[in-house]
Amino acid sequence: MTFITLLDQLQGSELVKQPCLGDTETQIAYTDLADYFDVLESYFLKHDIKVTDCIAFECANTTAALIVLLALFYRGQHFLLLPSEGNALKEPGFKPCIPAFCDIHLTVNGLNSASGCKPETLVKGMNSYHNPLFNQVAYQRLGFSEPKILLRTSGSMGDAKMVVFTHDKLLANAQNCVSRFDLNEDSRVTLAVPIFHLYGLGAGLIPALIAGAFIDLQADTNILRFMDHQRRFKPNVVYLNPTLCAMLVKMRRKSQQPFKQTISAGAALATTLHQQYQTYFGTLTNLYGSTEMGAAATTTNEQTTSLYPMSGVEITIDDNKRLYCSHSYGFNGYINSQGEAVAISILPYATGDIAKPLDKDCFELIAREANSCNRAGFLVQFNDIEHVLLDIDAIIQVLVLNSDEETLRGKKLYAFCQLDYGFTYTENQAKLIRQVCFNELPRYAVPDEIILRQSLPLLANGKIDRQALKQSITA
Amino acid sequence: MNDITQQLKKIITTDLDVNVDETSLVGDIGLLEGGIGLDSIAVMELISIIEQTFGFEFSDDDLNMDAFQTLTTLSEFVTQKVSALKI
Repeated sequence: MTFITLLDQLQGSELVKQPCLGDTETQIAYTDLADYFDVLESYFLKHDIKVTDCIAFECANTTAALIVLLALFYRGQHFLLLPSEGNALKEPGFKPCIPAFCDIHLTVNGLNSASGCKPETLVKGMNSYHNPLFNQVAYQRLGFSEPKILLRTSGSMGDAKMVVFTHDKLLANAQNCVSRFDLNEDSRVTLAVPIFHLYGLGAGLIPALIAGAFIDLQADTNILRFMDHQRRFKPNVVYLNPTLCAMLVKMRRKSQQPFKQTISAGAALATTLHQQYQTYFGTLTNLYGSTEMGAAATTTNEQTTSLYPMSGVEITIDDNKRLYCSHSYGFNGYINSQGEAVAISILPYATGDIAKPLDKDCFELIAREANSCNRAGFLVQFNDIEHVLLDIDAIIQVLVLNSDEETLRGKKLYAFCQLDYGFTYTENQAKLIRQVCFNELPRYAVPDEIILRQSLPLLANGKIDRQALKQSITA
Repeated sequence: MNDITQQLKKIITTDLDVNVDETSLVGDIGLLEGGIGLDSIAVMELISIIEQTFGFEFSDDDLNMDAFQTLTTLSEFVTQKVSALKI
């Protein structure tokens, strides 16, 4: 199967004539897609956007962005998928960070029920800009021979390298999820996770399309919006982050109906919470994967911690319990913003995670990648937080780590800070530092505690003694 | 400013783990994204504290975006619920 055959099949489908793709405001039927694709093709021709160009496309969980995304797959476009910058583009002086190999930066406004959802309205909301940083040499380095999609590595707030996937491998990766999640044309799927990340795209959206399911996109997810959607759309399959799963358990209302299937990715819920969720809301499948590997393994209904690899996935665990993963439908490699290949061995892919092998070819995760943790469904790299803290004049040394203590956002985060000469070690100082974190970091990455120390313990090689600090918070 | 609005203001600025001070929390500022940016966890904490403080429970239908748009809408909602308790 290719994206062309998949989308042709869906457009010609007589099964579903009623609206079945969209967000809260607007929905369309699969059979409408052909009209949108025609109008979009005219738009691309008018703006001289060739299939061989590499487009940076800002995507969001909206009907409009979904249609454009599908059109890009349909025409076999090379494109980089980016989260939407929203209104920031309209602000004077704002410069979006588009890699040098992308000639065109494409955005699309959401459609609302007042403006209606017509192909012409969609095109009116589209904007394409020439990337001033475009560099022909960078573009040529890509050497595209078959359609590829580029994705930023998930979660990281720093300068992310980009992951390259062929369209075909992405599709094959997604096909694995259809049977694993038992998706079919009766599935009513709510995607409360972003479709510009591989979890929402490769494990959620594309498998739901392959199954010919009803698809409900939810943007800017929060617990209230999710419950609103749930009442209106009545999904039987939901894609959530672990934080939202935990909150549904804590806020459980008597009238809430169980789902047929919930898929969650990122940090697994604690066993008790996982079991509670299953008691109230039905099967919860935890997905293990990454932007590089796509969907690699899942738990089952009975085994809430054992992970079973997907078809085509080979798991290796070395003597130091480091987890390696080979996926027939995994990524092709990394590139940087200049289109240069980043030399990292991709097969087997070193996940950075620690795991132990179990019976029957399954495994259990013991710990995630060093110096990072998953909070509220996002990978938090501690050095991203440390960079923000080191930009504060008062701080001369810093180390961020997590304890095993669970909060609703995930593992509790601590930032140990040593202050420069002349700054006072007061509670108010710690509060001011945390305020900077609130302003500079996404909420899930704000340390739960700022601990000020006159000095930080050092190892013989001069590095900060992480273990000593970790022991000080567990003691 | 009525008593319930004042109490809600205090709950948001002192009981929740958010970076908002009382002066910036005016009646028509949004409580969610685009406003003071309460995330799901803060909203859940807020619901729990409101239930404890004012002695009523949010029903399924009460948990919607409308009531939590601004301090004013939330105050109106809580006032309505508290009045219903007295009947």
